[in-house]
Amino acid sequence: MQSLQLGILDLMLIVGYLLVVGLLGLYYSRGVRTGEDFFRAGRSLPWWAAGLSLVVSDIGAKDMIGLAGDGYRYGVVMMNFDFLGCIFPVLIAAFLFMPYLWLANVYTVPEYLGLRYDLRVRTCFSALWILFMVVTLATIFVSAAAMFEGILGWSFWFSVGITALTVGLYTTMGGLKAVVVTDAFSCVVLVIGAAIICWSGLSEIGGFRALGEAIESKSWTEHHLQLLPPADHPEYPWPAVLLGLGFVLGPAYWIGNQAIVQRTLGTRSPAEARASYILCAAIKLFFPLLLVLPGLMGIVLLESELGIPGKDWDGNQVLPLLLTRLLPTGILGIVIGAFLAGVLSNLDSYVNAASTMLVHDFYRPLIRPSASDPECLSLGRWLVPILLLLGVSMSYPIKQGFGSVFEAFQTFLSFIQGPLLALLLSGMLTNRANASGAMAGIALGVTSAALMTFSEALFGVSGGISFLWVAWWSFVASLTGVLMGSLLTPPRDPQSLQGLVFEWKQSSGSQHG
Amino acid sequence: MDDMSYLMATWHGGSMVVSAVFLAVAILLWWLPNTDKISSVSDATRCGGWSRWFAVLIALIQALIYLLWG
Repeated sequence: MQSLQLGILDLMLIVGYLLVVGLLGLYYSRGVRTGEDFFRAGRSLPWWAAGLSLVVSDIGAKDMIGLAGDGYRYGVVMMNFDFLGCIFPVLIAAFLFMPYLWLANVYTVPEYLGLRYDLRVRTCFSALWILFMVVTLATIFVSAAAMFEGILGWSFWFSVGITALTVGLYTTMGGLKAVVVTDAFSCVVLVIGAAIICWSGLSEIGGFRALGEAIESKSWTEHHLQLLPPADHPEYPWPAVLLGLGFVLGPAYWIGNQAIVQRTLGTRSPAEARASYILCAAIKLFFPLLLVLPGLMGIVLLESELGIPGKDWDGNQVLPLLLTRLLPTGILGIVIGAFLAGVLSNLDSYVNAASTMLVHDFYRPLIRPSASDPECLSLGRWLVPILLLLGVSMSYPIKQGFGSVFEAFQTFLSFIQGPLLALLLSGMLTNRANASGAMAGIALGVTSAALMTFSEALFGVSGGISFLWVAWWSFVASLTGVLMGSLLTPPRDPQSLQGLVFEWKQSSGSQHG
Repeated sequence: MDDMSYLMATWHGGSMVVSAVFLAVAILLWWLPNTDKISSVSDATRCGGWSRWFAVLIALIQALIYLLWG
């Protein structure tokens, strides 16, 4: 990758961005006196800040660089990861799930599963999520370092150090509130930076129509302008996109991922929890265009340098090459600030969520039930630098075998996405689901996902099964397990489920109040 | 190839199915009970009324996007 040459103005903008984020985080750390303040921002977050934070918590360095590369390789189909994988589940979650999670007065999603089912289910999912988050922290460091090394020529340890220090400073002091406020600022910077890249590229190409015509004229871009490729598309057939991504992976991520849901639990009311999700959906209407468009522009502007994507083609070059070609000094600083915004907001969300889950799903229920609030606050604060150090120390070994470790972990995570969604859906929408059914659902879902993932080695299925189909069928298997297991065992007392299960009947008052 | 003939050449059942899914979401969001009303927590519902309208609008926009661009 070719490093960019930064001017004094660019460097000032980057340092200025880091300073603003650090100071904002520290300013909002002042009011943190209790565990409630630290883990749930004292339930004082306004809906718009939580909504902006939701958008950037989902975007990391890997996504920004990776989506441009995938946009170049596959085209606008990548926008489905936001349209079907985000907007669809977010709208449903805003009305069906978030107000209930808020009213359940929980700190974490596994805590809700514990209330709805039992401690086994809670511990099982929180352990899996924490493990996932620690590895994710390390991979965020590796992705960020690769990006800064490639674009700016920074060394691996300098990149990792500066991101860990900035995030550690304000997350340790301010907890969720500092995370959300800095995320909201970062979201604005990110949108401005991405818009600058798109505007510069479109100006050079001659607008949307010229871009579309140029892409259509290529021999290898047959499906690049189709949002839903045909059912026989090798990578993204539309039925798998709808069922696997839209109905399982997206909902499991936006309803079950603590790093996402936590800011919504910190809003001022159930209505604001819902509104934060709707704001996120509204931004996601245009946000994917800003992330995928650079890849399409790369086809027109950089095909002579990048060539036609093959098996070993490196998509990570698309965005840095585009920046080198399009952006002048000064503007480059804003865009690099946008990259930093993506990295920091992704990192702070995961470290904050992992700290919250360790305190509320392990320390309090399993190790020290009598722990006082100041004790939990202190532990939560200590866990932030410890988790960051853990992530930093794991980043180097992961860097050495990055592809295989990360892919293995993504595969491992895909085993639990279907079961997690099945448990959340059946738990929140029906009174009949119980803990025995939940355990049966986990067992069936994880087993079927593992069998399908390794189908090529086990059963000789040619080419294996797409991860989208694995997600869908493991969800179906898990849901079947939950329902069958629940129907064969005694139900829970309906009184004990009050406030935990969606009430389908219209209550008093107008419907659309 | 003009815009309309391009759309016709690339159109397939998937766009109609996904579009119908988003239309169903819009109807579901419109029909769902207002969760604010069952809350035992004092709730200002500052965002209650407009957020439902806004969510329905987003779902309809998505249905249109998939119908025309799917």
